[in-house]
Amino acid sequence: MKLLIVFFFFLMTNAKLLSQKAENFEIDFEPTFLSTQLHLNQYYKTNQDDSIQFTSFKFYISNLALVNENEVVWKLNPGFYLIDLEDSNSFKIKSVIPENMIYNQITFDLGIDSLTNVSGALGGALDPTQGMYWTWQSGYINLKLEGNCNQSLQSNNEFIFHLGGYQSPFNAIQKISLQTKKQSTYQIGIELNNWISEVDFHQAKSIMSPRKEAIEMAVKATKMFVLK
Amino acid sequence: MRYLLFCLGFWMLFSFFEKENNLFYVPRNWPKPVYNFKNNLLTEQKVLLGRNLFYDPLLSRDNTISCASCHSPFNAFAHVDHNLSHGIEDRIGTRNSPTLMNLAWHQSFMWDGAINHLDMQALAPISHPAEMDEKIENVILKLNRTKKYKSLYFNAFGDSIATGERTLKAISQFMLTLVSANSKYDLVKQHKAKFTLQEKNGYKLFQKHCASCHQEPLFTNLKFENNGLKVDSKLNDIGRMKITQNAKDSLKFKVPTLRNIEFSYPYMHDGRFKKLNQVMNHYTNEIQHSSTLAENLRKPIALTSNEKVDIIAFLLTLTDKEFLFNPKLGFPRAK
Ligand code: HEC
Ligand code: HEC
Repeated sequence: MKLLIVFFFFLMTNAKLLSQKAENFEIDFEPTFLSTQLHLNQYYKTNQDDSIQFTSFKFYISNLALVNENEVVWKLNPGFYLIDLEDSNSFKIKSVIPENMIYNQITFDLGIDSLTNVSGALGGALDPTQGMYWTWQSGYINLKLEGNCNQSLQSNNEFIFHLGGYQSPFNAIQKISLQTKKQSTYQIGIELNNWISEVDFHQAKSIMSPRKEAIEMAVKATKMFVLK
Repeated sequence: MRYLLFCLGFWMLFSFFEKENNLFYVPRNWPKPVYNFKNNLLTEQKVLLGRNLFYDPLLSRDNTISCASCHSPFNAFAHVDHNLSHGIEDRIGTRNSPTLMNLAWHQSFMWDGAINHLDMQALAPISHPAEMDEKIENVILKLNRTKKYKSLYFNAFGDSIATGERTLKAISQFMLTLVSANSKYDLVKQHKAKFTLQEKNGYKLFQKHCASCHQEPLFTNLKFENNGLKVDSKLNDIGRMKITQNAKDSLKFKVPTLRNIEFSYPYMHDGRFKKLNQVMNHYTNEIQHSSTLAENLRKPIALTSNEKVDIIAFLLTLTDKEFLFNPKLGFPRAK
C-alpha cells in the first residue's frame, strides 16, 4: 500500500520527465585560491602578503533549482550534497532535466534548511558521522573552514569557522543565485580568496556555534561562488 | 488482483501497528506523542539493538561509561547519589542527569532544550569531554568491528552495517519504550485504586500550586520556566538563555516531570536538593525574585508543615514500580 502511494507520487512528480526526453545536467565545482587549484595543507600567499593554510574545508549544497525570470522552473533531485575538499569525487553533481528547459539562473542553498535540521537522524551526506553536526546543541554545520594564518592571534595562529544555525534570529543558511545561459555542464568556481579577503584575521575569533557572527561570515562566504 | 493488493496493503499497515503496540503505547487520555514514529518505525529487533547500545560502555572513549552509568533504570533513568553527573575518568559535569521517561512526548531535550530531537540526543553525551569523550565516527568503527553487533544490526536492519543514522535511531527506539504510566495516581484515575485522605488533600494542593508547570498527565508542561532557584555562583548556569541568547530566557530550565520523583533524587538541574521536603521549603520560603521568575511563583506560596507533608504523600503516588523494575528495560542479558 505504502509502496503504491510512493510509486504514484513518484509518477506524478516526474511526469514531466517521463513524457519528455531528458538531458544531462552537471555541475563541476572548482575550488581555487587566487586562481590556482586549492589543496588542503598547502601554504598560500594572500594579496596582503600573509601566509595562509587551510586544513579542512567542507560545506553543504541543497535545494538546487533552475530559475527563469525569478520563477523556479525545475527543482533538481532534492538531495543534500556535501562538498569536501578532501574528496574530489564530491565536486561533481550530476542530474537529468527535461529537454528544452528555459532558464537563466541556477540557485541553491549554502547549508541545510530548518525543517531538515529538526528531522532527527538522517543518513548519507547528512549522517552525523560526516563531522558536520553539532553535538552539544542540535543542528548542522553548514560550512566548515579551518586553517591557520600568520595574522591570527589564536593559539598556533589557527582559525576555525563552523558556520550554522537554523533558528531565527540566527539562521545562517544562504541562498546563492548565479546568472547563466543554458549549457549541459557548468563549472562553478569556488574562489576562496573572495571570502577570505574580507576576513580580518587579526580580529577574527573562532566561530563554533550559531550566532550573529556566523551569519555575517556566511554572507561573506557566498561571494566565493562564481560561474565560469 | 486489485483486491489482493488491497488486502496485502491492509495487512502490512495492520502488522505495523500491531508491532508498535507491543513496544509502545499511548496511555488512555494522554495527548498525542510528538515523536514522528513514521520515520523510525519501532520493531522488536531495533529496540533490542538500542537497548544493547544504551547499556554498552563501548560508546565511551575508554569503554568504561555507558548511558546507563548516568541514567540507571532503578532511578527512573536518572543518576542516583550524584548531584552533578559523573563521567569518564571521574570527571564531573555541570548538570544533574534528568530522568528518562515518556520521552516520545518531549519537544526538546536537556535542561536548556539544546537538543531538538530525541534521535540527536545521544551525540551530546558521546562527545562531551566530561561524559563519554568519544567521537561518533569512532563509535561506529568500533561497532562495525564487534561481532555481537553484526548480528544485532543484521536482525534490525537487514544487513550488518552500523551507520550513524541507524545507531542513533536504535537508541531512540529503546528510549521511546520507556513509558511510565502505571503509578498509584494512574490507577486512581482509572478508578482501580483510591487515594488516602492525606494523598487526596495533597493532590488538591498540588493542583492549586504546582500543576500549572508540572501539568498532568506528564507532570510537566515541557516549557522552560524560572522557578526561583538561587543562582549557584560557581556554576553560573543561565539555562535556556544559553541556547536562545535572549535575556528573557535567563535562568529558565525545562520543567522536569515529577513521575517517579521518589527515586530520582537529587533534585533540580544541579541536584542541589536531596530530599523532597527541601524542595517544598524552596517553594514556600526561598523563592528568589528576578525579572524572569515565573508569574505564578511571584506571590508567595503559603503551606503549613502538614500541608507540605500531604503534597509529598501525593508525589509518592507517582511512583511506578512496574516501570522501575521492569526487566525488559534493564541490562540486556544474553538469552
Ligand atoms: C556522564 C553522565 C551521562 C552519560 C554517560 C549520559 N548522560 Fe544523558 N544526560 C546527562 C546529563 C547531565 C543530562 C542533562 C544535561 C543538560 O541538560 O545539559 C542528560 C540528559 C539526557 C537526556 C535529556 C532528557 C530530557 O528530559 O531532556 C536524554 C534523552 C539522555 N540524556 C540520554 C542519554 C543517552 C542515550 C546516553 C548514552 C548515549 C546518555 N544520556 C549518556 C548525563 C549523562
Ligand atoms: C512556574 C513553574 C513551576 C511551578 C508552579 C512549580 N514548579 Fe517545580 N519545577 C519547575 C522547574 C522549572 C523545575 C526545574 C528547575 C531547575 O532545576 O532549575 C522544577 C523542579 C521541581 C522538582 C525537582 C524535579 C527533579 O527531577 O529534579 C520538584 C520535586 C518540584 N519542582 C516540585 C514542585 C512542587 C511540589 C510544586 C508546587 C508546590 C512546584 N514544583 C511548582 C517549575 C515549577
